Amino acid sequence: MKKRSTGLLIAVVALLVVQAGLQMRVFPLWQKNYAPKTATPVGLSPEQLLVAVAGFREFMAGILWVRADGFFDSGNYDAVLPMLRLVTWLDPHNLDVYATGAWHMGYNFTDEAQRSDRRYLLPALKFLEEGIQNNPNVWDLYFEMGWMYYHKIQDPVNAVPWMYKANEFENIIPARRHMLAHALFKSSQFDQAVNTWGRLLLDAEKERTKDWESLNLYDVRQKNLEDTILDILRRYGPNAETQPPIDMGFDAKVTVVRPRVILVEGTLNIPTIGARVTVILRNKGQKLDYTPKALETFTLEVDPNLTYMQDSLAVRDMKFRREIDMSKDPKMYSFKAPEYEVEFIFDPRYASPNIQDRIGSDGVGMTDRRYLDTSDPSARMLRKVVTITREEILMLRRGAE
Amino acid sequence: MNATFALAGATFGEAIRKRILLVILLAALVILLISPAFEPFAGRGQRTLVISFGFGIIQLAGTFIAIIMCTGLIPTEIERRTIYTILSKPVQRYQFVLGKLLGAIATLGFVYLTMGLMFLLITRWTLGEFDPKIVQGLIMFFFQSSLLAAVTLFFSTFVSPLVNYFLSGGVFLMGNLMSTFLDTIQRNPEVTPLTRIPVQILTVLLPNFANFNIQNPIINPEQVLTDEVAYLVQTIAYAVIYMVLLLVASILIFNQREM
Repeated sequence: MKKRSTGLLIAVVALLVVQAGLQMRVFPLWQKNYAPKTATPVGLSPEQLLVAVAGFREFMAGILWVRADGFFDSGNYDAVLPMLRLVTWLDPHNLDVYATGAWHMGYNFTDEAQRSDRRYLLPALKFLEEGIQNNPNVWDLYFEMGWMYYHKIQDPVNAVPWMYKANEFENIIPARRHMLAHALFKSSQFDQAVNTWGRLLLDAEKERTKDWESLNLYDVRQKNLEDTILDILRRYGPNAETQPPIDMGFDAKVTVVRPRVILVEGTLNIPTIGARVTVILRNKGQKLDYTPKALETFTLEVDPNLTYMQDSLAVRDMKFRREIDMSKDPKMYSFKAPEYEVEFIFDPRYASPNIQDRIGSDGVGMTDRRYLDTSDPSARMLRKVVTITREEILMLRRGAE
Repeated sequence: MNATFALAGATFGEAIRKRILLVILLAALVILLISPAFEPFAGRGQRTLVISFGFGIIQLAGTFIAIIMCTGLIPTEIERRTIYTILSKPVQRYQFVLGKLLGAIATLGFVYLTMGLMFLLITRWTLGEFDPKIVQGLIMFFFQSSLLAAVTLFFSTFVSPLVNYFLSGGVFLMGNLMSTFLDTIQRNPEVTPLTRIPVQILTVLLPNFANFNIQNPIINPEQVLTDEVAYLVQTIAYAVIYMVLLLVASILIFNQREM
């Protein structure tokens, strides 16, 4: 009896070792194929966790997502964010949640004057990066990332690699392919932009006669290719309309009119409408690093001590002027730092086409005696930085221009 | 071996006549049948709802049936004293335990076959397609429940049914979550080896039920899997080896038991 027990005990130990070896082989494959990747179940109540492990993950994620949408409709954005975290843990392949969640973070957290809280752009990019890690074989989130750079951050240079990646997929919506060419053009890679339009046109030509949609796609691509070539010829060809460069006479100033309220005004010698000057107020020296790698892991927290305001000012009659009130949103504009810099930027890449016809989309047709900035290889810009102190902006003492 | 199969057959016959198990099975079938009606509550299309909800119901029913059925397999025989009649015949103790486990697995096979057929009919009806991957998911859930049955049977050799409910349920929960925790810990550079190593050991020692949850890529078919066949084969082999391990451990304990 004792001998048999010893034999069984040895068998148990041997089997324990074998199953451990097998589990160690299975685990890396589980991590690759089935693990929720970087998301963790933090924030789930025990009953939610029970339901989640009981196999209703995607169903529960769907219910939570419907609920989150309800919060969004009622303007309760703060409640949306934790739900994003839960939903993506439960269902890491729910592309809608990643795309819509990043959009919420990037666009919908605003102050009283509908200015985005740009501190949330980094979490938005990190959230998209996590989505891409969990879904590397679908084009959607690569495109969303590219769009965030192209449209929200207005950084076409960093949009290009993501658009290239999205374009590698066969099943991408055909019209979405166009964004690569647009991003290339805006980042002054004109040859690649023309090549991309040409390639897209050849693709569309193959199925041109298939149906109305295919014919329309062909027409759109043909028109874009022609317009792009025409724009390049007019702006950069012989007898270019962008030459000689015009002096933009750019200047800007900041006046603190009330505590946390500034008046920004200036001049820009562009006689037509359609030009916009970007104004950024931020803690001195704290430029936002818009790369997903700037965050170790995705977090819903933003730096409460960072004040970062960005607005876009329309230029009319060669002047721009706006009063910016930051007194109603102390959570966004905490003014904890001792010094702030107010940066004024005119970026020709995002100017209207009629203005680009004169100065070029890369600013080749503009100059400025004082504020021309040529540090960005993709475009010449106008940039002026004004420093103000905390005392000045809070009007703790006089003299704040 | 005949005695083992006879015991397995008797266990199967007894299990499928148990009202509680039939009620769970019937409830699961009814919920599966009406599951498409829940569409307004889910955020993503009908495919997600039908497949996720269906798998959820099947897994939940399989889990409950495995635990409820197996907690009473050995204690009931002892309580009723029928075990003395059985063991007085030329039946070895190991044959008794093996027969009970095989009977439980056969019952689970019957349960999964019934629910699986209903599930396939529902998906064919609502989604207009037959996805063979669903069968893969069902097979994996069957092995998951069979492993849970082996765990519950193992505990039933030395604890009371009431304690066994909680013990088996707890092991199932932990076995489902340990991989996720280990994965999270491995990704976090701030976690010290003092925390990581015990979690690693526990993940390797405890039966890992999360290995069998393969439904997410079935719901999201755009995902490309690496070495899928190797994964499925190794995971089934893992289930079988762990069940044999638990069976041997159960026999070891049951042999020591005074009756």
